[in-house]
Amino acid sequence: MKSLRKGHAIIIELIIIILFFSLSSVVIVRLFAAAHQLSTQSTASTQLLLTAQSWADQLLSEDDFSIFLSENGWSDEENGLSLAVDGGTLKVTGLREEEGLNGKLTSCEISACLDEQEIFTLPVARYRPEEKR
Amino acid sequence: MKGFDSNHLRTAGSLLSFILICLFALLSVLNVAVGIQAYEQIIQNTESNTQLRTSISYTANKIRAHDGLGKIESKQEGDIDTLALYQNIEGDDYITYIYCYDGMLYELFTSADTGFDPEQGEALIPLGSFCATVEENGIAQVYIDTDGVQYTQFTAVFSE
Repeated sequence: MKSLRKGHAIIIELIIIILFFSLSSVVIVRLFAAAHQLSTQSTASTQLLLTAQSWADQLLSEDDFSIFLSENGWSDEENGLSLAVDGGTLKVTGLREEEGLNGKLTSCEISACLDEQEIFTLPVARYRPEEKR
Repeated sequence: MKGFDSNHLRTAGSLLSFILICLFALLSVLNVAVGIQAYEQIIQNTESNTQLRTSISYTANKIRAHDGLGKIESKQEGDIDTLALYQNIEGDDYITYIYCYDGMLYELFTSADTGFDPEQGEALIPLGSFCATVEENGIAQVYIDTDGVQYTQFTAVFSE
């Protein structure tokens, strides 16, 4: 009878230990998943930043931002233009041209969205002086 | 009969304990395996990101820094695609070559009179491949392959 009770006690002890370790495992697995998600998000935001910089530099050599963007796959949206890229979406807003005394300033803002959340905005401006006659 | 039951129960108890220990060991090993895989993937992603970001930023900043100092062109030196950045220092012409050689991104600053020797350059960061072109509209297009991730970066060149 004594040895039976002892056997039960050992099993109960083991079950408690396993439960404890199972809880620890759940926490650890959730941590791994969160770390993996963070790493994926970091990769996506890096790609988005590089792509946005690349588009910003291309715009700097163009006379008309909206024509160039429309010709290169950007689609019209309510507040500007958008392009789906690896890991997210790029949006161009605030397209405007300002005529000055000595030239023309063309500007816009490129913003990057990851999971419908804006992560950064990159201002782009090009000043083109008028040729003197 | 009682003795038989008692023995039977004891054996069943021991067996159950053994199964529980085995289950625990198995789950622990599985947990460690998942952890190793997740950790390795995170490290690989981080390294790949760093390589891509560093090589792209480095090349773009080199182009921007040289913009206005002299000609910027893509040049084929033997089998190697290079980005050549020209500059004149106190009357002498110099070229900075950026290229991929032996799995690394290299920079070589040399006199324009000296021939191109890829081994003389300074290794910067591991890289799969590198290719650059400078278009007529003043856009330098740099293609980089790092750890299986391909990327094309455009950089505006303002000087003629």
